[in-house]
Amino acid sequence: MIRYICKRLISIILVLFGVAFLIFTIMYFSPGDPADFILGDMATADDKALFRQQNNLDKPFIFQFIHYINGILHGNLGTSYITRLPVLDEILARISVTMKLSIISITIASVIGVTLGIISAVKQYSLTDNVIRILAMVGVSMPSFWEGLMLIILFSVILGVLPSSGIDSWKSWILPSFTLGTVSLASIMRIARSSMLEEIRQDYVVTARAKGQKEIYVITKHVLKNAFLPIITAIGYNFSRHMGGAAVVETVFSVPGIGKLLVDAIRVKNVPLVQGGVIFIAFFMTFINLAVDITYAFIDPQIRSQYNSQKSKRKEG
Amino acid sequence: MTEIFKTNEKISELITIKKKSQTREIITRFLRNRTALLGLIIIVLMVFCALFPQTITHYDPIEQSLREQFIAPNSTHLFGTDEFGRDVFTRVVYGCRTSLLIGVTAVAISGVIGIIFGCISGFYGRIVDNLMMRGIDILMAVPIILLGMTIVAAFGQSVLNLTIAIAMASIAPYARLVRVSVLSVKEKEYVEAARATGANDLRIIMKYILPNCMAPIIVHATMNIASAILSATALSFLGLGVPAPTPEWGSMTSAARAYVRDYWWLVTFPGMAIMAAVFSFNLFGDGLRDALDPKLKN
Repeated sequence: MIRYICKRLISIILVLFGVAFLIFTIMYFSPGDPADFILGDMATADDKALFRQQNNLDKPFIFQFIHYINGILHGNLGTSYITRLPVLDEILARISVTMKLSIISITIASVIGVTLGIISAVKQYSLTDNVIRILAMVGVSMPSFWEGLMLIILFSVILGVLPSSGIDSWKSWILPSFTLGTVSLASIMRIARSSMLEEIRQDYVVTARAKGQKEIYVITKHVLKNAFLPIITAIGYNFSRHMGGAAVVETVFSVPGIGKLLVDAIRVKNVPLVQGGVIFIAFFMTFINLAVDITYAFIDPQIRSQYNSQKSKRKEG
Repeated sequence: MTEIFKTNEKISELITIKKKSQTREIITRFLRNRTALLGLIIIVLMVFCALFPQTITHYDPIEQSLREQFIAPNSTHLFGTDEFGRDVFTRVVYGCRTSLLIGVTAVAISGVIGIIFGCISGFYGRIVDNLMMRGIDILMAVPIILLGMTIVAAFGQSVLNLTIAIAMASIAPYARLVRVSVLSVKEKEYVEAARATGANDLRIIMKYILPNCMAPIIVHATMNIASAILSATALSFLGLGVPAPTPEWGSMTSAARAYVRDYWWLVTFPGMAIMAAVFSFNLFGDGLRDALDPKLKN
């Protein structure tokens, strides 16, 4: 097990390095001089030269990259051009909002998604099943920004029961979380349905029924327990996806999270903030995915025994 | 003797019948699937809109007529008019062109690159495979919207950059898919036979390996068009995609956001168009998967 974790950690370090390189390179080759952009038209050539020197913009690419990686290792993602604050501080100030949004939305999506998936699988090919499946398909196909605006029209404009922006009260979290969670809800439902269906056909289910157990007991105790692994993985991956998808939803509902921070930063071409933000989110997601994989390996007896048997084989040899 | 000939003829007859029925069976299986057929019909309609928008609507999608601002949907303006007096229906119809163009081009680019990646990686294995798959891991680690944001932020806002951004972000799944298919096919006897006849690697890949892993690639490509359209409209909504006057569903929704309290039709219809497009490609892809490989169902 430890071997597995170590192996994953090493490969993840490489991936993170690669991500930093990729994002840095893209931003490096962007046309347009940040000095012009930040200092405005009024700045003299000397001002600009000084600015470039201060921000290491006059050094060669490799130097800048190594400097940047060195910064990351010391917890420094650069300085925002606009506010002059460290990028990491700006991100950390906003991350709790995005985290809260992601957690609420994944909770909603998991509870509803798994429930619908179970119902759909138990009543396969019934009217309920078909309706749920079509709804799931619609949920996956809906652009989240549009869904958010439609919800605003319905709940804020027509019914006037929920606020359309901000995070002032608990009510304002409802619409953004639901919007962010819709796609996850649909995909968790699909996974739950198909993994339930796979288990429901197994012999042990017939045995359980033959023993005279109640159907609800068979479903929850036997089928669901065995179908849970893929569902947990789906929940984990969808959760990490929320960090990226938050940009759109936060923009729609004016939620001051990390996504909105990035979108605003792009509009004013605040390169260090965009760079740092994307790298930060990618790192964050990679670690969530790692956690999901490790949990998976930990719960799944097949994978666990695979690694344990390797170990015992080596001991024998 | 003649009897043997006769049986031979019969067998060859049987074989030709079977050959024909392979494609025909796929088509019948597909046509029997009503939801998939619905998807296909919507796609055909959209392609028609994209190619001949003038036959459907006689308004101009870009020209402004400020006297006709914010007209609610009626018989002359089916979907109403926007803040510049432009017919929303016309803009939605012309929007098909932009979205389909971006979706199909992005999928084509990422498909070709992904297939090349996957083939090389799966066929040669070992260190090449390892290196390439780490590269793919890197691409997978950055969410598509963020990668798109970075590319558009760096290189500016244009249809081309948007397409490149989405294409780049969609390479990874192809490469993985193709790699797995190649791995499963390359040990087959017919590949060995081809190698024995002296065929070189390129010929083996093009002629024997790729055709045998085409089914999952086609299905994924269809679904990929749906997600490409979705990401493209999302980026446009954020103001990072198609620049202003071009009719595009995402930027139309974005512009309409300011009027969401007063003029519902401005937001509603472009979004419905996106949904219809994405929905149809998803349905089509689902149906295609079932038709190509019934084993994959559920």
